Amino acid sequence: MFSNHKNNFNIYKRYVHLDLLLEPRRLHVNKEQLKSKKPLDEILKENNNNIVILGQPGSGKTTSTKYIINSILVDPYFLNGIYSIPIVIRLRELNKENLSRPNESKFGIYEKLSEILGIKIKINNEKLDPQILQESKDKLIGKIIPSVLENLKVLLILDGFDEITDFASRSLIIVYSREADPPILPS
Amino acid sequence: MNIKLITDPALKALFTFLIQGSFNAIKRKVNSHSEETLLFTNEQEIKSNVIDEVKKGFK
Repeated sequence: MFSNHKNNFNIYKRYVHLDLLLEPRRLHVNKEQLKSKKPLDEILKENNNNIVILGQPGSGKTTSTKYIINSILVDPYFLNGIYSIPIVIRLRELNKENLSRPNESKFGIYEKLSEILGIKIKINNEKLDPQILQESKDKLIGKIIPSVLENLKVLLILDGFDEITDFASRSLIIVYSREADPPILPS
Repeated sequence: MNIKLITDPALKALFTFLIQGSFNAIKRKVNSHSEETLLFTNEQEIKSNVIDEVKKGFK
């Protein structure tokens, strides 16, 4: 995809459109439901909600997200131009970071995004308690990140939800996903 | 579909306008938070971080 990546390749030569079932297979009660299949780009176009992609290892979840990322970057009309910048957060890395800080507050999606974007904020007030300062900073980050996501027209892809072993991190991600606007795409 | 590989300058050109708007929004939020709140990030830094992050999506 990128000219300066090792082993770069054109994803359109490898990608095969997958017809995805609109509900998890275990929730199907009759054969009719098995017919309700759609390709991922159509599902994204028609949906304003978060979309969860489920599938066995090797079934093409990550490749499908790469196809979406590629298409957003090279085709301004893809998904009617709703998204301009695709950002992927590998949840296994977030999980690793949170496991390494058992006594500190957990890294959520907002904190991770602020770290990724390199947003550095300092509140110069020596009279305030450090904990209150931190809370005030967190609140500000909580206002900044949604506005950045909206302004940048970000499609946020959370890769590897099943790889999160830490319960607190899992809860943080679920809470964020419910509040998120614009929608995110966990897989 | 015949698509050329994306280069860094192409991405920069693609994101410049969006990042400018976004950076101004961050500045407004920081300024309205309190007089003592300072932002230590510039537009170029955010742009290069966003480009790095988009590229990581392919690894």
